[in-house]
Amino acid sequence: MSGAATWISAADVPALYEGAKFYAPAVGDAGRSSLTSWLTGLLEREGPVALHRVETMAPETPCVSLCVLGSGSALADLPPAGDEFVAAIRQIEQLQGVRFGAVYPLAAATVSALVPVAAAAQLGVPLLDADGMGRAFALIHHTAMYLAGISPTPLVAFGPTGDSVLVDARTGARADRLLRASLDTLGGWAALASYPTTAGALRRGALPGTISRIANVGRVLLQQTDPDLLISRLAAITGCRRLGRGRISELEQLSRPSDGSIPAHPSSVVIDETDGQRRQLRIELRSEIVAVFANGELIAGAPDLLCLVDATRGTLATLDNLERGDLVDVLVTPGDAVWYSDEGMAMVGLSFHGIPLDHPRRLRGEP
Amino acid sequence: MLVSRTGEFAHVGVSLHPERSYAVVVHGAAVLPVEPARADLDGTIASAVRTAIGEFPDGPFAVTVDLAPMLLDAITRADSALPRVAVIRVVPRPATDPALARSPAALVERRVARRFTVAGGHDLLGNELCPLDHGRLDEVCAELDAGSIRHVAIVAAGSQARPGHERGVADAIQTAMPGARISAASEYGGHGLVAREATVVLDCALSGVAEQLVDRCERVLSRLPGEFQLRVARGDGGYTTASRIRTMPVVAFGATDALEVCGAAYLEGLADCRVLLSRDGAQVAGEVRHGLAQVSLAESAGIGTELVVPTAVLTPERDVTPSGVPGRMPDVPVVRARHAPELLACVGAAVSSPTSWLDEVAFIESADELRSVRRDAEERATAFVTANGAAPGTAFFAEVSTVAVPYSPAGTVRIRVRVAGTPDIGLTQPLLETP
Amino acid sequence: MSQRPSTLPITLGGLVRIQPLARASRLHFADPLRQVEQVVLAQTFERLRRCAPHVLVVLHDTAAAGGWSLAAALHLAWERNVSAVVVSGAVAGSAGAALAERLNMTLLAIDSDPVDVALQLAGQVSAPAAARALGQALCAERLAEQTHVRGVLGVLNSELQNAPVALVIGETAVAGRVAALQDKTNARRVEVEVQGPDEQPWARLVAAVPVNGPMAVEQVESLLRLARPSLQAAWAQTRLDSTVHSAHEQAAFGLLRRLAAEPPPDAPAGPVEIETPPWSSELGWQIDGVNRAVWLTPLRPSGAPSEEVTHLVRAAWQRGRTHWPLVVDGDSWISWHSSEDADDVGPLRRAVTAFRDSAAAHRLVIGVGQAHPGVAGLMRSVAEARLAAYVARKQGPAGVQWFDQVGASAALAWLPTTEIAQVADLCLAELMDARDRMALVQTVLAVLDCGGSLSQASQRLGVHRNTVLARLTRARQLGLAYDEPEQRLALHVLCYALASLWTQSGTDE
Repeated sequence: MSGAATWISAADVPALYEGAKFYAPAVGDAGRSSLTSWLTGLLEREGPVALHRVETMAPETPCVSLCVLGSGSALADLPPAGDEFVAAIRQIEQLQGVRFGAVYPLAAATVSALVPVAAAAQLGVPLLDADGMGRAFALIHHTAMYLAGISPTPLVAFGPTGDSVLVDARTGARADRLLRASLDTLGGWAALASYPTTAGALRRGALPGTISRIANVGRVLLQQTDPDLLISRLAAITGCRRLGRGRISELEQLSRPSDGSIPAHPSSVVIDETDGQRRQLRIELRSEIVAVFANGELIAGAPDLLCLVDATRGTLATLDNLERGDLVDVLVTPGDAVWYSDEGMAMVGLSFHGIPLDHPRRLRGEP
Repeated sequence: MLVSRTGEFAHVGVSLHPERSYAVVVHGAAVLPVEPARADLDGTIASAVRTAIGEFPDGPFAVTVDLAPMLLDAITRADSALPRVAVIRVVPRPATDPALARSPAALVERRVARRFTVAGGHDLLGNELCPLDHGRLDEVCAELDAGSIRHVAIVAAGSQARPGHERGVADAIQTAMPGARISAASEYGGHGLVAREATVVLDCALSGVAEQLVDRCERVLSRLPGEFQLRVARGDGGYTTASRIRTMPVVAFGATDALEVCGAAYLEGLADCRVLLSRDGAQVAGEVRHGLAQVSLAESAGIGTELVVPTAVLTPERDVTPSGVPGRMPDVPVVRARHAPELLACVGAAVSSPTSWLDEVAFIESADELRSVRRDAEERATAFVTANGAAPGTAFFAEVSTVAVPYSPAGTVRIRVRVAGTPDIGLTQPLLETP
Repeated sequence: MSQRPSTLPITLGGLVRIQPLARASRLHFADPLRQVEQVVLAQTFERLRRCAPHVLVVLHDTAAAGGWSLAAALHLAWERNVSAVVVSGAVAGSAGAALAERLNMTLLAIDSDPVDVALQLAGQVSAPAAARALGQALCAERLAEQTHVRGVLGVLNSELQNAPVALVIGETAVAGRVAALQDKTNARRVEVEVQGPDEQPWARLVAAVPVNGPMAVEQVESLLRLARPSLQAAWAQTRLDSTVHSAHEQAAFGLLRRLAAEPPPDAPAGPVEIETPPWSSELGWQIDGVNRAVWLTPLRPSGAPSEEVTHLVRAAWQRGRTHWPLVVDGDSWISWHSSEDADDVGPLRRAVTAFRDSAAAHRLVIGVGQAHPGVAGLMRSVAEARLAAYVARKQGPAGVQWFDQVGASAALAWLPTTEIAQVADLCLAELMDARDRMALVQTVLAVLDCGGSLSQASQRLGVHRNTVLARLTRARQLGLAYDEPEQRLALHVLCYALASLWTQSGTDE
């Protein structure tokens, strides 16, 4: 191992948690206290975890990604026993006869950003400051690694029941489908260890700096302040901008035809702007916010990162927690550049969500 | 104009604090502070009721009591005499990490004397993840029976969807220790094992205190001339009956914030507004919609964990924007509370309505199914609010929200219903008929 | 049909009157006058982007997937200035309606297959004259289904929307929307005469057509002409069969009388305004103005007249005045003239004069009441006419007496009250023995004076209506059969005589 590392200590946990929520505002805080106290306890007992940039690692270092597969609600209702993530990694190690020298998040967002820190502390290995999504996407092959030709398999999903599934599949899409079929039986969520690869492959395959990024965003979010100031601070470090502010007037379920293979059915949030042009904002959801329309005009969409800020409280509004009458700001943050490539757009863009419209960035002539 | 929710009757609002108590009498626009000679519970309630009778001789009267400061004091005080509680978790596997085995909230964990894990549990939609381990359950019963703990809190994964395992454990404990005070998480519903566990631990620990307080209030009222309905303020700013607080004391937990917000709005005659209160020298804001405080399941009252009963969320608020107007919400008026917080809480208690709250996960495959699931939830919430003291037929759905649960199988929705009703005595006007 | 087939594009208002859009629910309807030049079935957003202005878009497939797609389609439609968007009801929720309203874009929700709807609409839009003709044909069909005057006017008004239509007799609107008669500077008046079965002009259909409206005057006129046969049929149906008709009129008048006698329970105290029931216009009756009643009665009453006599009297009385009612009442006939002006006695005077020969032939006398407004006024005038007719008998056949001239007191002052009171002792012995005879007699008198109206009588007596009813029942039991037509007048006079005697003496001894 070479090069300088930063460290993640117990004191960083609240910022990591908040920042991770910004990059995937899907899940509320029901499981927050158990996860953060687990991670804080681990970091206090085992000491801080080293956070390495990928390029500082020896290229041949075996690395494996971790994430929470499934719903945050399921995780909150059945918290981990604590050994699931390490157990998933050990199974791949046994299968491949390797010993992983580092772990990294599949998605540096939501609780999936925290569990690799916990696993790194448990295993005593460094954490890579990189991930596969730079946010959260619904399917496990929607990653920069997959676009770079790195296979997600063999992968192991280890559930809170103590049962596990090992999947080897020829394509990422099939791996995802095989995996998702077992998810309910595993307990609604599972610790997923996937994309076993090397640090060298991740240099070209993973999105760099994403853990430090969420820590920085989290520190801003922790300073409770009024939403206008919050948004201008966030804009300074993430490039986000506000699309509009309004009150939620409608929550629609099953609002468009759906394909059952993607988690969470389509739903929509309708917001009446309270200032400016008083437009009707329509937010299309599918686990994450997929698109935003203003008076029917598409103004932002996947792979843009879209989130809502509760404007009365100055905090992130999570998608499982919305009510009619809530006053929210709609924020858009550009996703990582890889997602705006033709391959990226084809994989995670609007068309994947059944919206056959040109991305507003393209219409504006941006790259 | 004034939000006249007290109809033509006098309503007494009482806020009980460990050091002294406060009360007001509210009758329409008239708000009479009560200055008792003896400011303890008995003296304050008696004085308030006499004021009400003196000023407004035509009963009936309702007395709504905020127990929350007393309950919070009971669990935070170092020399608290609260009972110690045994916790039984029903999950597929015991936690391997100490932090995951305990409650993240120190105040809650302090009440826990013993912890047991019994294998079992369901997922969010009620599918069994692991059969209940009856052998282990027998051992736990034997151990508990041999010990001195008589308060047992039980939480099973997925029991809000399928309470079978939890009930199985409760039955076994009851059989082994017929005198035990058992709290089961499924009685409260809600989500999140930690929040549900914290709720039942507090339920177990506070049952005695709550019962004593309610008894004392009833004794005072029984000695006074006339008929009084005793109500207890809920965390969401509504009220419920005394008998329900005896069985579910945590419902009264954290009520004060919501009462203050509602009280301030009432004094300004507003049913929809943002209320600025002062807390320890800083300014905080709460919201009122349809005359009800805006609530959520965030960490309440500084105990360090979420509970499954909603409470008002007060957020720090900087003062006005540079332009001189509060900038966040141009579409609702802002109310700056001008009275002592205790008075606001008393007014909020006096003018409160019976409420109920439901928070469930369901699985739907069609719009029709969604409608029927919603209707079902609404009907149950209506039944609850009637049990909490609403006149039948007066239920008003303050909020019915259905959201897709992210990253869950398609069709998984979370349904929340908040219902308020018109009290079954005294309040002659429905809640919404406000100017 | 239209005399000059217009090639103007059809309007949205025209399209939604005929199928398939007549069935559509209007989530937002911006402008019925908006023209529709073409219909586009949009399956993709690309197709929407290429829409020309003034087209009607039917969304289908991808463009109608629900949720965001309707919002996006509405926005594109707004950008392209299309006339309306039609979408399956299954995907159109309240948020879609709200957005349509915000963009002021007409949004119609259909239940049938969008492709079929688009094809039908395309046919209608490509041949606007045909569509309009179809509209008129449908309208004619609906008109033909109507069996009542009101129904015909209802169809016309729903069809013409911004052009109010009324059926006018003289200058009074008897059915439809009065707005048709109000002088409007920005409206043109269209009139079509309607003949009765006797080929005489009976009424006019009047429409006020907005000058800048979507409907040509010719179009409106042709619609009104279209309605004529239905009106005549409706008229004839109620008019031709005189037996049915007189039974109908009799029943209707009975109903009117009951209405005047028993105002609705929630009516305020004091003089009651009785609303003219809408069915009265079906009989061609006018009651809304001030009414002056005519009582035609045999010189020597001999029971209810035969149908033949009624027919002859009707024919004579209604000659040239076909819309004047003639209602059989006991042995007599009632008619009246309604006018806006109480002093307008000309028509009635002429009618009475014209009737005198017939009156002489049938040995009838004629009483004319005073002019009083509304239903209650009509009843009062009828009572007056009847009293006047009694006086007219003294003139022999074809005698005419106007109540204005004779006046009730004048007529009654004539009566030998003492003698009449002696008759009462003999023929109403039971009544005269009763202790409460004074109250009973006063009550019956009041009721008869009030033309049978219990409420007016109770007001006059200052007692509750139920008391009046109870006294009437008792009076009838004691022989005071005031409600038997043959005896009514005699008893009325008798009661009058008794009451005035007792009032004079201050006692009923």
